Amino acid sequence: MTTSLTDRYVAATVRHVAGRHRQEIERELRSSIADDVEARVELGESPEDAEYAALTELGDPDHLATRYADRSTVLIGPGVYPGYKRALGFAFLTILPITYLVNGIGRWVKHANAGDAIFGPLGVALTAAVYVFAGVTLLYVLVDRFGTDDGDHDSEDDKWTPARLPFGDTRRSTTWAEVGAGAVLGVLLIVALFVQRAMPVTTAGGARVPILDPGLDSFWIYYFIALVVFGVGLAVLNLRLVKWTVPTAVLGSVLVLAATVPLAVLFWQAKVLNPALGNETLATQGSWVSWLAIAVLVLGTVAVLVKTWRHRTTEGGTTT
Amino acid sequence: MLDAHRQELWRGSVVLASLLALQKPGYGYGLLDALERAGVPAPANTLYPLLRRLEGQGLLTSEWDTSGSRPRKFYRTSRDGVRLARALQREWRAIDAALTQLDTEEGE
Repeated sequence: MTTSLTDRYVAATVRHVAGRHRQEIERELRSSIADDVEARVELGESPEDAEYAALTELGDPDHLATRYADRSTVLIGPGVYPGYKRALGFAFLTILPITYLVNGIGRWVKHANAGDAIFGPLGVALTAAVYVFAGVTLLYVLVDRFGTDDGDHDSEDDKWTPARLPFGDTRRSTTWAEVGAGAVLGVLLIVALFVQRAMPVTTAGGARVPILDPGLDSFWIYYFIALVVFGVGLAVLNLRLVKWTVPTAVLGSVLVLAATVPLAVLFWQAKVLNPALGNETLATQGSWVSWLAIAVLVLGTVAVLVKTWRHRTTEGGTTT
Repeated sequence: MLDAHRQELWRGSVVLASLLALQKPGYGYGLLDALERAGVPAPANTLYPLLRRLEGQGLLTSEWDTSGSRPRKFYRTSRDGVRLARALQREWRAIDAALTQLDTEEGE
């Protein structure tokens, strides 16, 4: 049968085409292929060779179908790719260390074994990495398909003006990607605070207790949740303003300090992790664990403050 | 390298070439042949979907002709299509003029 190859080719092409245009495309494609085959046969090719050559020239039916569909088959287009890359990096840098540390502490509490506490969480962190990767990718695929936000620009209707140009070689202080990732992280953090209460860990002694000190439940947990909400709100505001202004920079710094200073004090007093976990080091005031936590907090705080104020001074230096 | 740049340069011309050629009604394979003979590189798997797209935009009209040995879909450039073709042709000449001017300025 000389038509079987064409039948298969046409079927493979229209398989991907939506119903309404399917018949029309099929009919037209058959006619065009037949024209090509006829022309080749007239030049002396055998019908089989002519059909084979005509279909070869048309190429991969999937590619042809894509062109008929007039739709991009890339998951993440160039418009949102930079944001995607940043969001992925940001999510990895924040969520993975937290997952690793929380899981490590949990294991240490349970088995009091340093090796297990260091290497055990690797699997969990890897799983988390896969989930983060899939989640962020899916989010950006949806943004690319349905979003009106063209990457770094605001999704407002108002026209672009030169005032929106970034300053010098620095990026705008906050991007949608960072705000989005920050908001997701904030929500995850809040969820995690409640989940750890609902899902206690088993200690070496066999008791089931939450990881965090129940003493935090009356006030501090809500205090930190409020700060997270404020922080996300400020980030959104900052996005509108394009750059840090003095008031927002001061407000941002106050928020950061309001979160980290009490947290550092709580760590030093060993009031963050549940003393009922039964690990002596964790329950001791001023132990090396609390100093480590404080050191991490100080580094994070300094990094955030430097970022905030550096953007401020860049802006101050360029205005005349 | 020359090939890639050449293809890039020609790519935008296929729409204009099709609109101009189809002022006289023609079918897919016939147009492919005509373009090839005129020296416009337009692969079949690009041209056929392009014709449908131009039809969707109202720049081409189409009609099935069943009088021949097999049914063929004949396309014809619509009035909008002709108007667009004229506008694109002006652009084309502007490109040529601009390039010529830049070339002579450099050459002198």
